[in-house]
Amino acid sequence: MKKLSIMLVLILLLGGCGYGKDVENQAFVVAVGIDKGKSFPVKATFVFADPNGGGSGGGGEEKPSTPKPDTVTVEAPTVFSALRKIDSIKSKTLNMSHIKIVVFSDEIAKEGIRDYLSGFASSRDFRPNTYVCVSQGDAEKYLKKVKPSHETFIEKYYDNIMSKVAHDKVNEAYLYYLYFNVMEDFSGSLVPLVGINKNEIDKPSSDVSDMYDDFSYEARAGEIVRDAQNPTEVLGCAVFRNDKMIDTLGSFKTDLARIICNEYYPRNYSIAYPTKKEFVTIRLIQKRSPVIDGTVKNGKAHIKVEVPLSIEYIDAGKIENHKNKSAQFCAFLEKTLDREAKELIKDAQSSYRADVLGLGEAVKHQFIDVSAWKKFDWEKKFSNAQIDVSFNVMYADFEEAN
Amino acid sequence: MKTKSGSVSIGIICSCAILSKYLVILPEYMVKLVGNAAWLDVFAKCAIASISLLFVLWLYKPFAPMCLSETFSLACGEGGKIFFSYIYVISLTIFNALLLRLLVEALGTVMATTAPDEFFALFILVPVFVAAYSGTRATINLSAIIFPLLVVTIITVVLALIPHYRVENLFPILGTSTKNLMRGIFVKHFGFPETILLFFFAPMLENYKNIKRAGLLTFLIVALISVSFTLAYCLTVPYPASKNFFLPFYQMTRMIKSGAFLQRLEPIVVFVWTSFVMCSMSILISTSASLLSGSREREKKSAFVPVITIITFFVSMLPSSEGSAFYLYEKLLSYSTFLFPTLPVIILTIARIRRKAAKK
Repeated sequence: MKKLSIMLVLILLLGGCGYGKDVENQAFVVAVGIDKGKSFPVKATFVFADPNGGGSGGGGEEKPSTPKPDTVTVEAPTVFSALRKIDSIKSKTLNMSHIKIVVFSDEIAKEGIRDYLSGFASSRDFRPNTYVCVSQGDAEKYLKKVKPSHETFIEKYYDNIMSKVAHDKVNEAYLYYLYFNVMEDFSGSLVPLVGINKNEIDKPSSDVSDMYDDFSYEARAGEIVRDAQNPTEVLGCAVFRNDKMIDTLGSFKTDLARIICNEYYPRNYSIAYPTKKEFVTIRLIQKRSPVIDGTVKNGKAHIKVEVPLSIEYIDAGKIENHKNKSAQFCAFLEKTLDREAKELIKDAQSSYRADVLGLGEAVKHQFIDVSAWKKFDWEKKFSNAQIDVSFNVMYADFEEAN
Repeated sequence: MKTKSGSVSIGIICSCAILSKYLVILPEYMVKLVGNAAWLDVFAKCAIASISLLFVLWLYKPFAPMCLSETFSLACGEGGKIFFSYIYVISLTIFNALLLRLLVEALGTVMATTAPDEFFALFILVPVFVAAYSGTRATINLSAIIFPLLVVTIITVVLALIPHYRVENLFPILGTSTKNLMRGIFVKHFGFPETILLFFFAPMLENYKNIKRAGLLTFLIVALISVSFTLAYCLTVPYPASKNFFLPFYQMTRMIKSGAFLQRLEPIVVFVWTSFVMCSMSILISTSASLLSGSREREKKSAFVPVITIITFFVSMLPSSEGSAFYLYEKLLSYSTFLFPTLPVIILTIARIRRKAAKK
């Protein structure tokens, strides 16, 4: 009797086999592009992983095959409806759990992406750490142009290139964090910008004469003067007011915003110093978080941001005896950074009218509950807020600092 | 079970029973009303529940280590004992059934959307039935083995989420509004009706000191886990996004990405959910069977275990959807303070008065 009851219980476990999913029967989507359609509201592009990409087939001498990711573009009322249509095209079962990137075209981003993000965030198919970006032009074209030269698998390319932007910090390059931001009544977000290059090394199509050094380099994705196998690039960011894209930021302004938001990763910069034709190369490091202090006086917000930064010399250029001239050079950097930050904040307050640097968080502390905070109306008060940003640049090398 | 380990085991099983619903429906349940101050709300609720437990313990002291059902007969006679025992059996069975349904829906959503709810419910109820049929001690011993694993899992999730914490999410500190927070703490109860188990298991602990120790341990575990987890939730998911965050424990675990190898930990959640609920359901079914049979002997009460299990299954399938199950559960929680501490306070007070009168 006991044996029979144990067997009966074990029979129940066989049910688990009914929902088995074999890898060879699944089509893994690695990237999704969302554009505006002509026949339907949405034109969705899905990039599928090539499971055989890079495999030599065990032939020893045989060259590894180049991965050929399959791309399917469908027009539909929504992205999820497009997925249903893909079922009629693809024989394998769709698997969305390995999506690395969602690309919105700038046209769609300008109309608003809240509905898309809500759908993705509530669907368990999309992972929270999926990268989100905005393409300059069509997302479909961007996804079709991506030709990684180092990675065997395209999903690895997206993972590597986007992690350089996100740096594993909590920011809007990730699906969930952008969704969290967009869900707020008043917010600003900075979303990575991707694009196809149009500035070939011999015939640049846009004017780059003003970008004489890295502090004045305000190029966006697609504007790097270069020659490379992969025509696509990730540079700058799209500025969002709530869920709508309103503008773009160039390379250096993006870095500056990341520094103030404490989402920065060290980079090298070549700066024109002391004249526009001489360059000093430094590594700009953010070792400590910015100190952001917010107060409210007479209904007006006052925010003071102090950003400590360290630098390391990579190449002192033509500065003779640069160790003794460190204070002078640091003062120059502080002045330049202050000026650029002021410009960025002025843009945020007057043209974007979006708290893209998240400075409202510092003022929020002053309020006891959400109703009091809503009554204060940060959306209106942000434009008139007194925001002072100051940079404190020091040498990272202790010996040089002294 | 008169030793310290007995108090620990009883404390653990009571914590399992209380926390099982917490991990399935909370902290989302709290956030809807009080917003980012949910952790304060949970902390205050734990503090109030602890004070009420101490008060009930004080009332109970002269009757220790008597089973609470015996105090029903002291207070209201044999008829009262049957009446109140039935109230507890019915309430605990409905709680159990709705929790089962919520777990089934959650598992269906995250594991196999096409699988019928009945399949999942039966799959969970088979081991629950076996554990309940094996007796209270067997379930207590089983939960004492599983519980440390569950605690380690929760601690791992809370620690792995540290890079995602934003202290700014906790502000404004009092959440949606001060009024809502007060309403949340004092009016909208997240009941601790399962605390009553402590008084049903009292004869196992043999003296008042052990009972008190088990009770305090229960609330220490519940407060530590529920407050730290709600705090982790509030730190990770800002308000208002947090109020629409479906299956928060699962979603939070999905957010963990500590390098290429420490990610996709969400199957752990399924294990935690199921283990907690299985332990909780087994002990509640076993206790209900004890109350119905009026005996703690396994042979006598085991006849009721299959009946209660089958009733639990059918009641769990009554709500038409997950939404209606959640709504019913929420409604029940609003009245859960009746089961603990209101009813025990009334019964124990009457029992004390009658005892004093009898002495005179």
